[in-house]
Amino acid sequence: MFACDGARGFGCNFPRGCSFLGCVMNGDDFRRVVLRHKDRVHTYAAWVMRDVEEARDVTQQSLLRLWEHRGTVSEAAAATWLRRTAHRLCVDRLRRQNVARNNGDGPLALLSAGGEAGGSEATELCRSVAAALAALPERDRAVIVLREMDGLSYEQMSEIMEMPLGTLKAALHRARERLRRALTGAGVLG
Amino acid sequence: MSELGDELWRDCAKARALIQEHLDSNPRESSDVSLPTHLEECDACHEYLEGQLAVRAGLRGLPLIAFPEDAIEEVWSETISAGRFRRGEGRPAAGRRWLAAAAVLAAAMVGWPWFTSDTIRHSAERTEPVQTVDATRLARAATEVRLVVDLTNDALDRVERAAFDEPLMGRLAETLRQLRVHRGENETEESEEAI
Ligand SMILES: [Zn+2]
Repeated sequence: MFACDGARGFGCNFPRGCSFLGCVMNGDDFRRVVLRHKDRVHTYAAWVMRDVEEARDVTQQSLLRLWEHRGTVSEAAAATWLRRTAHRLCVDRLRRQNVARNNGDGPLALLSAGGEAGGSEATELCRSVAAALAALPERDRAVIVLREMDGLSYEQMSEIMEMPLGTLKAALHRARERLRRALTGAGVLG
Repeated sequence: MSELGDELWRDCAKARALIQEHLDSNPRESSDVSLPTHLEECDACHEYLEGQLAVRAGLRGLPLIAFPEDAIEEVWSETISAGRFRRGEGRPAAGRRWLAAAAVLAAAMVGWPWFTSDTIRHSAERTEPVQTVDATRLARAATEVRLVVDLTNDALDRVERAAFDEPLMGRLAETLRQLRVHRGENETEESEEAI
């Protein structure tokens, strides 16, 4: 059994994320968590779904579910919880669609358009990397975004993607190698 | 492939695994391949490292894709601006909420004097002799008390879910929290007395 993370400093011995009052997220906690994580969760979903409309739905649903579960998720555990929920929602949607979508509203399109979401700082290298990333399989995109863009630890990623640590490391290694090969093939890397 | 070539290839595989670990700032304590030495001798692995670093730089340069403002407004309107429960979902009936709130108040009224009573808090100051209890009975009693406390906390938890701040504007939370803190103090005092 996990010990409660004692987010409120009670240091109680209740199971992690126990719903005793000290660890229940109130409105202010929820607002803080949402503001801190919304863009990262949205970016993750956009890259995994390759569709910003879907990413918007996934992010919104994840945040609403966090609100519904605020009695059992502490503020400290919310970062991983949100991403795991978003990941599950993405996987479910991709399975239902049964075909990897890559329509014009993907993150790549935003980047190419250089619009609000793309920003002007996207250099040529970034555009090439983004194109190669978008062409990778779903799991490769997920591990790369969590690790390289979100900066999460192996342990957090393993919890989010619900895979053993060893499998996760191997998946990350493979994904990076595929990305490097794609960029070499495209003549971006020597 | 020659024996030497075979060996070099094996070293390259190990070197690339080490490069991955270095990229994650998590290098293995020991390996039979020295990465700096291998990189000096092997152009392919040197190129591999440079490629990985370039990929990383490209990925880290990608901008965040902002969650749209209207989407976040919808989240607020369905959560903190809508009260504690989403409309029609997981919301206990009004009667049940009031009943739960009343139950907690009653428990607080009955429990508070007991938790804070002189009998409990200052029993060590009593003038009459304290009956001695054998260790096994004391341990069993302590276990039973813990069980009761756990069950009570579970019940409080359910009540909290049902009643929380709608009927009592959040004051319920503070009351329950104080109950819990006092339980902790009493436990400490009791265990000191047992010693
Ligand atoms: Zn080599």
